[in-house]
Amino acid sequence: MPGRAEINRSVDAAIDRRRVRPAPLGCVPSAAAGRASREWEGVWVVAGGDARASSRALAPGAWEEGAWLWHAAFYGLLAISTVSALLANGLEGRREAALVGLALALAAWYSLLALPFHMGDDRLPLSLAFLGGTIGLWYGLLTLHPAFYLLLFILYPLVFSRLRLSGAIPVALALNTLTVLREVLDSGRPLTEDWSPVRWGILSATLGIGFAVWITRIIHQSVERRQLIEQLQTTRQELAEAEREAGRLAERGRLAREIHDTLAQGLISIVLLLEATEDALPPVSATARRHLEQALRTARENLGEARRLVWELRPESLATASLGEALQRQVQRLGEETGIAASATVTGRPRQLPADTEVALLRIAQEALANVRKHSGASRMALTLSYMEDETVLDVRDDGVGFDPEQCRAGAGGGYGLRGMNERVHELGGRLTVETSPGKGTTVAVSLPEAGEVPAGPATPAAAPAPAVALEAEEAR
Amino acid sequence: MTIRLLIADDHPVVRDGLRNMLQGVPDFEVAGEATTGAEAVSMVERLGPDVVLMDLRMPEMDGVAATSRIRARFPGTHVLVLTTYDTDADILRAVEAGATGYLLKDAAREHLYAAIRSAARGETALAPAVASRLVGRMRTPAEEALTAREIEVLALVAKGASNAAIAAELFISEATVKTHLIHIFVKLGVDDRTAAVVAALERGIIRLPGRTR
Repeated sequence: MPGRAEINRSVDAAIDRRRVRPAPLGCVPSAAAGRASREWEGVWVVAGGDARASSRALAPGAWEEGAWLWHAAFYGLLAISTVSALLANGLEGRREAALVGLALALAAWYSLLALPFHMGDDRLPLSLAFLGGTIGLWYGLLTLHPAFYLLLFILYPLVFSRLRLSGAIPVALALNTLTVLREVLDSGRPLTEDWSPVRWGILSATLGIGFAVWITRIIHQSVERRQLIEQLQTTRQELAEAEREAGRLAERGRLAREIHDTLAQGLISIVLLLEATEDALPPVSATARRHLEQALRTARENLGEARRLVWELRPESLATASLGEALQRQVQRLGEETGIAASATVTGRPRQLPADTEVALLRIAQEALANVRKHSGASRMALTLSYMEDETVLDVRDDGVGFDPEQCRAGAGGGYGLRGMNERVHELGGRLTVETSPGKGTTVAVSLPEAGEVPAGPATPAAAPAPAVALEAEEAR
Repeated sequence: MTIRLLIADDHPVVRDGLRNMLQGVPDFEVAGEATTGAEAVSMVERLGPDVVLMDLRMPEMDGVAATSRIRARFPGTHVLVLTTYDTDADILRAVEAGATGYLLKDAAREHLYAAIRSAARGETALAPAVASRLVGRMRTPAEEALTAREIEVLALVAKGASNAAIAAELFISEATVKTHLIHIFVKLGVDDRTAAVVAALERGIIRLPGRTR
């Protein structure tokens, strides 16, 4: 190991010789940028848990985009050094051949190990091998000609781009030491005479590495901040979006309430008052009656519009009550309270039916279940709701005492509320069937069509005579 | 016999309109007006009306809860739901809670009167068919696929079961068995049960018992 004075002197000499001495200093920013990005990725794992962070390679874009520039710089500097060394006088043929051979070897080595991989590839053995080989070949070239000092411009960035700061610093120091050693050897003066190369080496290394650490920190922070700002902007956008959405929903809700509370209720009041007035109007004034009817019609039409608006403004996730569930609860209660083996089945594709259809089915089921409870003496009953393509059918069957349909038709007490049921079903354009005979149980079946098949003329439902309940004695067919 | 009424609605204009209209009817008497569900319950207790005209959306206990309490505690009082919207899912809940029926608030007065009278007898009042429905009825296109129940019915037909036997097996009415068969015929494009069984066997919808494919 040469003495300090020798090394220092040789560094001084080298500086004198070339004027410009590439030091870690000049290369640090870019190298540190790569390092910082990598470390940022580590931070990012903790913060965001992103899968991307599991690969510790550089974030794509940081080095990748500029990678060709680094490659170009490497080959360029290598070419320039080689050419200038060859052009310089005083190289004998053997050394010239060795120089060309080494330069080609270095280019091949670089092509083999640097080109195919990411600039920031974090595989440590590969990186160390690559750097070791590169520095070794370069040192060989430097031994042949000082023009290759020029390659230091690219070597330091390579070191810092390939290794973490903790690994890059020792390698950079080694590179620095090699440089100093070469200078000392080149100068031919022992360190005991002149140790300024070592002094300069230590100084430049300390300053350079200090600068590298400092820049690393700064870039680390800057990357961190950029990410934070991006996150902040995303969050702010999401927040604004959510606020806009909430505001939109709130506005819709407010509008719906407003229409409901003022317009709709006011129109209802107008309708009711006009209806009352129509009642009180003397029969003589035909014109007044016509106007009144017109006003009533208009009010109803506008109320329809208000309903439509409120319907359109309703929240999307409006809870709907399920007829099947309501029926199931009724049947379950019957079973629990009477001990009858009661079951409820829904077949077909359940769908939301118009309120009047659903209410009619529920009411009929309630009455049929009440009959089962009171009169049937059944041990088993089943309710079946069948959704078909164009109609919905409800069956309530029990294995109880049954009854004589002829007696029922005679009309004692409306036949267990069957007449009332039948009227309701008829109003909706449906069909009610009761199948029973004494001792054979009772089955009530009601079928209601989909909307659109309801008989017209809702204004005079009382005028339509309710047909007798269609009773069919149970017969084996 | 006079029918005593309680109007429960939080909108004064609606209460006024209803009262004005109902006061002119000889056999009706408006016994009171409540503005909330809770008030309706306490007024039923105090006044014992025959029928409560119940709005569904009210502050302090909605119409469904009020209906449930009234029907549980005062079985002599019937509840008729008067709603602004026939799309209200609460209608079904109110009927489940014991309301005898429902009507739109702007129903023609003769409908309202008839509904009140039948509610007073404990009978169901239904809104007359609404001319234009808000809930668009999406007519399901004639689907070729048989439902599980229809396949069940067809399998029993294939076994030679009569309608009565199928009805007994599925514990439903013969009428509904026939309705199922009509749908099955349409879907399979056949005219009778034999052809239906043949078509279903050909298409692999059902299998003859004991035979494997």
